[in-house]
Amino acid sequence: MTSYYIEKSSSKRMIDELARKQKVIAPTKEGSGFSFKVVSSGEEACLEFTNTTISPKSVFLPQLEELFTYDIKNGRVKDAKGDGDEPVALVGARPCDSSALLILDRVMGGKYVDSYFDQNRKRTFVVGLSCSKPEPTCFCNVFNTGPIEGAGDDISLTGIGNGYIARPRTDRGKEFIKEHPDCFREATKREVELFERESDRVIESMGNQLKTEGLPERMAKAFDDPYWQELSRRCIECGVCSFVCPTCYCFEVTEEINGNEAKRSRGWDTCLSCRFSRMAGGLDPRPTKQDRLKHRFYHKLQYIPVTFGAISCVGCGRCVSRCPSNVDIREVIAKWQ
Amino acid sequence: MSETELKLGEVAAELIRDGKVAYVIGYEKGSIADRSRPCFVTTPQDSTKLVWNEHCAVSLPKYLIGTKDKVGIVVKGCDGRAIVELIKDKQVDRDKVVVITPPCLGVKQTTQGSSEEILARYCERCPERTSPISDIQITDGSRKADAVQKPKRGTGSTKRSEGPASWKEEFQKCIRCLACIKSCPLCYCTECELDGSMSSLVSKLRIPSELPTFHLVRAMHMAGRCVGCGACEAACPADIPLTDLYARINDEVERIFGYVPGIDINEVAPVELPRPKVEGT
Repeated sequence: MTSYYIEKSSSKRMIDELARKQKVIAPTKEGSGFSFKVVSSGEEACLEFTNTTISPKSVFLPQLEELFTYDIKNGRVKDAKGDGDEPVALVGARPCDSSALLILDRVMGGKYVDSYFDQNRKRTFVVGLSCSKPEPTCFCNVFNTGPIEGAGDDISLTGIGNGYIARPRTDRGKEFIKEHPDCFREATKREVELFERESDRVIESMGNQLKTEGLPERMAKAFDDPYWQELSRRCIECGVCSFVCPTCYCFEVTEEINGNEAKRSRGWDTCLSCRFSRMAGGLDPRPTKQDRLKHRFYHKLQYIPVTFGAISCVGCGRCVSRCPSNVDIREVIAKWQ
Repeated sequence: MSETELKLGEVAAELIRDGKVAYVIGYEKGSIADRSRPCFVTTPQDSTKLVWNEHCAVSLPKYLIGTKDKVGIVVKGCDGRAIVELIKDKQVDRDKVVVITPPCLGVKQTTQGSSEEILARYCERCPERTSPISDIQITDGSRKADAVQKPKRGTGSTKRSEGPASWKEEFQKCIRCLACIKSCPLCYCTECELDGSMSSLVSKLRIPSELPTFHLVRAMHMAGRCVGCGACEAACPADIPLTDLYARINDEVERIFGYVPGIDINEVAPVELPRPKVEGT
């Protein structure tokens, strides 16, 4: 893989270049933290950021998404929406969030393609940004989903001194670099060495030594363990864990009727909600809090690995730091590792 | 282990040993630095894990709702006020709860991007750190065993200027997760009117124009009920300063009705005041 170099000062110009042709979504300062927002220039973006509370999965699975409108009299679809195919660039996605896209791909882009998600994936160019200072709650090293270069990047940037090493991972990425010689040049041997040293430093700075081999198998046998009852006691079912999770994809569908026209939309939902699995007539296969919390962990650590071949956690640590009751997925993995 | 924690452990162990409670709800050391988390002590041996510090933030009275056993609970001032409101609303049976009150230390938080810990905003507004309800008081060496004080009125008033520059913008940050409702110790309705699947007051997924409706209706439902424990704000993934809003509304309730939620178990809440008799009926 050829490595390129871009000055930090040129990264603003790179965003300007991207913004000329497409909608650019990048981290911006918001209150005391950061959030991913549409920016019109490199000046508005802030690439020196601690990861956002809401993950950039919202670029691919919007929190609220209009699907289509239809005529309620004849049921004919009038207007199939989706966000269209206007190109989008996501700049500054951390490796965990970028790698999460490949897990979403397995579920939503596999045998049964979710056309809305698929369209958003295809039209989005991802410029990833490696981490230099992982948070104490980060554990991406456990799943090899970080802290250096994310698997869903088109181009991965890793900070060294006053610039970034840029490594294209896709043809789109290679092309973009080739088209912008004013921003990128080939990296020198010394710069590549610096990149390798920086990567080692960051990886070593992460202490988490969890093991995931055999985890789905062990969990399969632990379904009736009293551990789940004890763990769920402090859960308040707020569902924040799934809303901030970059790999949670469940949604609910709603209809709004206005005159003869109905609009169907979908938006994020959470399996912690007591109505998530309740059926018409009131039957609920997961009637208790314990069932629901257990389901969330089994979905991530057992069902998806068995069905789609990958653990559905990227170790971003958002649920760990945001859970009001401190239910910690790292402790769940440690228990069954 | 601090003196308070030692005593706390002893009290919990004794309550469980003597069969006075089925378990004690308190805090234990969390999995991340500066975080204490809810724990349920069921055996006398387990009582040593109880901690008491400035990171005991989560509101515990939430766990009393629907509990059938008689339980012990460790509370801060705001949690005590929440229990009073829950008793008044007949959600908690006074005879089935043993309230343990160590001296409240307030809740300290770090803001993002800084390692310095500061007192939570909602703690600064607290009318009284001493719980209005207590069965077992725990004191540390530095404090005298003071009798349960009657919390002051009017000391927690928010200034009009307080709060964010634009509520409209704050509301648009909302991701409609309902964590504010789920985390609130005073939200005990099994089916919430604001949970769109249940009603058409706001649509199921709450389109952006309905977000202010959602938040303002919730705020009105907190009027004269919010005890300012900050549970909603701590849970909110969008970091909306919800307690600022509820405090403003509670100030109005206090100004009009002279009522401060949670401070007096015998005081009738404004929403329950008998209707004035209309002449000729």
